[in-house]
Amino acid sequence: MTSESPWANDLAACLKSATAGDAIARMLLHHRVEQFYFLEAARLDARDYRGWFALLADDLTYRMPLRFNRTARERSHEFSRPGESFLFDEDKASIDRRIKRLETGMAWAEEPPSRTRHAISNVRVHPSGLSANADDPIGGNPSGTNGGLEPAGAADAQSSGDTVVVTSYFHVYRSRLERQVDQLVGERTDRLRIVTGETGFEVVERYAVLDQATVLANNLSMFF
Amino acid sequence: MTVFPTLSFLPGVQTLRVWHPRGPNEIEVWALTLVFADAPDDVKEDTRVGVLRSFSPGGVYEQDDGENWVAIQDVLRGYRARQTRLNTGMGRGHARRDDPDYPGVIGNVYGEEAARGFYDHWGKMLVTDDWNSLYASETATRR
Repeated sequence: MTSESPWANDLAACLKSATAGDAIARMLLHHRVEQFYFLEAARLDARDYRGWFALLADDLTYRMPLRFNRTARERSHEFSRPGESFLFDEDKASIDRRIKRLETGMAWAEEPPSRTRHAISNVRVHPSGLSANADDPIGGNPSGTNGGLEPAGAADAQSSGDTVVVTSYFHVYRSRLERQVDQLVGERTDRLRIVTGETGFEVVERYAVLDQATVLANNLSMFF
Repeated sequence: MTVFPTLSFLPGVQTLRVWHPRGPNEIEVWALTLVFADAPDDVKEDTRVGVLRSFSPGGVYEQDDGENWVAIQDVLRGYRARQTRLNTGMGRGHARRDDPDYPGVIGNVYGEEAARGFYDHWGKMLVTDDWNSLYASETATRR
């Protein structure tokens, strides 16, 4: 694959080819998505919150459900559902307010700031718009096991030619003050929209699950 | 406001929480959101979102609270703090017992009347032989 490939500069065409099953297009798309995620992580870890904000769509939803320990007969309620409480349930405006708070210099949970390191891995791109995980509320199978609720965005999962559903793992190391260390690990399911501009994507929907039931940190003052 | 010993709520914010001691130096917090049953759906939704964005582990108030509470306990473990009696005197002498609407002792929210009541009740529980005697002594201190 050479730099003359039309896909190198045209992500929308790349997505179309990837959806059609073209292996090279799939690889290129995966590479571009991964680089976008690494850029996002680098901005967060550098505390470039406005640089991170620029990677988010105006119609952003950003959610992290509660997670419970459920035995088999209740496993369908392992995660909180729309209308129940969440750890994060944000839109672009509320993320903006969170960043403004950090910019005051008086957000004591982050003053002095935490040191974070966002390791993003296991990136899987689903160019058809559906994720492989039937339970994902973004791009999951509409008849999945999340309590029979219609997954957010499923109705247009296949009709949006310019979005892609991606799952990834996050491993966020957070060190604070002298000795406090927290590790927040989990999985994100994102809908990314292809945009013009060098970053290539913007985050439209993020649904992140934390691999803890009781949150074992004293706060969640970081973005995922 | 706290119902002795470990049930607290924030009036106006509609959050309820239970503090579970998990041994020395650890407390586990269960935080719940309350909505009025007869509120319209959009008001319930605003309440749900408003509480989780302010008073949850990622909430913009609670993040700082978590930091402060841990830091306070770190200080109280220090040598000098252990040689010093805990000062819970804020607002002392300014409480009232004659409110026409509310029974008991009323102090300003920015004050330590609640802390004095908390430790006072705990102290009584330690030295009183039985529940009836405890209730009798509690009733005697109400108006």
